[in-house]
Amino acid sequence: MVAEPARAAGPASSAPLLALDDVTVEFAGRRRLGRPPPAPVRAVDRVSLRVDRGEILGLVGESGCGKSTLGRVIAGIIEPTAGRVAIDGRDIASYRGAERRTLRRMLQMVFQNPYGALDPRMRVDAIVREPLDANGIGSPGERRERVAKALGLVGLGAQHAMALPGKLSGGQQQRVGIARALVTSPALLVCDEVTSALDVSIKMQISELLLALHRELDLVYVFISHDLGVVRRLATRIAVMYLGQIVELADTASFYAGPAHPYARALLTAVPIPDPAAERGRARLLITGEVPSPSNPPSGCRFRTRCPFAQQRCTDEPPQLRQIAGARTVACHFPLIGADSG
Amino acid sequence: MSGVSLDIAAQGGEATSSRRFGPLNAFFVAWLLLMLAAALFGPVLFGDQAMQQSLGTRLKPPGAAHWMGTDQVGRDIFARVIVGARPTLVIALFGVLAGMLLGTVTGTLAGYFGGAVDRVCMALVDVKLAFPTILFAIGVIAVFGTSTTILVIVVGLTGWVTYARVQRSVVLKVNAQTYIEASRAVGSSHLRVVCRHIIPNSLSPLLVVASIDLVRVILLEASLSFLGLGIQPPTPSWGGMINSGRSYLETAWWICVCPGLVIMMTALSISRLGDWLRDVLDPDLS
Repeated sequence: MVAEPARAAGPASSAPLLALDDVTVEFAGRRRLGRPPPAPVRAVDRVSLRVDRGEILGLVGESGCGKSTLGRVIAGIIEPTAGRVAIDGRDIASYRGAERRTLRRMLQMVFQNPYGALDPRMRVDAIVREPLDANGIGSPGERRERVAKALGLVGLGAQHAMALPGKLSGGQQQRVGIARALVTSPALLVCDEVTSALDVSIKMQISELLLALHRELDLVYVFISHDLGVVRRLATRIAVMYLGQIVELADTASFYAGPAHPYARALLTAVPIPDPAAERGRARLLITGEVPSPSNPPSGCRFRTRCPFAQQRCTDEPPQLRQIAGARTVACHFPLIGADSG
Repeated sequence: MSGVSLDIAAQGGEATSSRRFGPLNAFFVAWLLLMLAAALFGPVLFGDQAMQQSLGTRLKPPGAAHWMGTDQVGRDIFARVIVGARPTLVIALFGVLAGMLLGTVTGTLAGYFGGAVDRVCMALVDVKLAFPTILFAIGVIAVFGTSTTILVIVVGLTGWVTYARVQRSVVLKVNAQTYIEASRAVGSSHLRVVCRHIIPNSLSPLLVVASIDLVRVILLEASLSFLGLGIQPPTPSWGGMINSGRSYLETAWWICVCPGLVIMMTALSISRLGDWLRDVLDPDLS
């Protein structure tokens, strides 16, 4: 650890590190003169989720499904419109003033575009030091020490500390982003598509780095990605989102063995297998059509407009998340496996 | 992606030419140093000469005795240009600074906070634009009298809207960058985000506006002098000299043209060096 972890006092034993209860995020549409106010866009719709210590939760789904918005709620950047976010069993809305700053130190975020997330006019050491400066953590000497340690953890040296971000490679820039997140010794890191802007070889390096940090520092990740390969390597559990809702939650092994939700299956079969024989042999689930607008989602099951298995019941009744086989929950009336009749 | 790489190539090409400190830039620096020296030492060295009237040598064209000729009352124009550097540059520099400060604060507030703050700030800009500059200057000077301080304030109050508009749009752009969100995510206050990230990243366009504004300010001072509201005669100022020579333009062009050329050279130097500075400060062009 960079220093002692900034854990908030609370019932740390039984409560999960992160708990979301019916979290909803709505964005107001833009008002236009002479038109009725538009319906708010519900980017995240009543999501409940638990993340325990030692876990890496992979949050997958296509663009616009609300996974990044959910990540920003968890990182404390966006306030949820409704619902509750709890850390160590305590609602984060109850943190005030100085306590709020302690909370900030526990939750950090790493962003998708490594260069865009770094101020081009700031030197690397100032970028990594910013969380300490902004929250008044430590003396100048301690801050320097922590910055050097955080840079060391991500494999950057003193020669990088004085560089401007523009002088670094994409992989090094992302390492700077990770170092900035680590410098406050957080308990949970939200990684928003951290590998998707990187070259394949660099992508591997960064995901291996994250895995090593997870083991060394006991760090919990919410790993947002559409890259199912990287998620498979990193995550211990997978949550699949579609149109603002979680449609399937399963541990990584059983998810990749065969997802239960038709949408999850479609996502997985869209990943090509680098073996022509296997690629030809496997059954694909192709979905067509566009994602419906989150301001006007379909009735019943939100996926029914694109689902090849949709039936009348899917139109009439929205499926609830329910547990099927083992540690697997799915929101589907007709799951592809382990269905004990719905 | 091809568009992106083309952009980078174009920037790279420009970078090599515009970032180099060539002989032309050296000349501009030399010119500005010369003007600075004139502003500092001019009144001591040429003060008497600039005021000395001599009806026998009035309206003499440029020559060996008078490098820039003489004006309608026989004063040496070269000496007057040197002596005029101080009041002209003091008002121009401090006026531009005042306008830049006011405009930057207003524009940053408008762009950063948006909403009602934005509407109030932009309403102020519209009010300013609807109000005739000269009328405003006459009003202020009528009430407070004329002095260098008042002139600086007047110049600042007439020029800030350009900075406010430019700054607002730049802040809107910078504010949408991920590094701003990243800074907020780690707990930075508004003040910290603005001072550490927004202002440093929006300085370049302001510098360009300032270098253009400097020319406007010199000319505004000239108009005010013409109306008797600027630097009071017989103290020479560049703008005032051009105005007093206007009626002799057909017979004695040098009265106007010589200070005009000095204004042009000074403005050009500042403008070119401003561009160079902007490129040097831009981390994306390295």
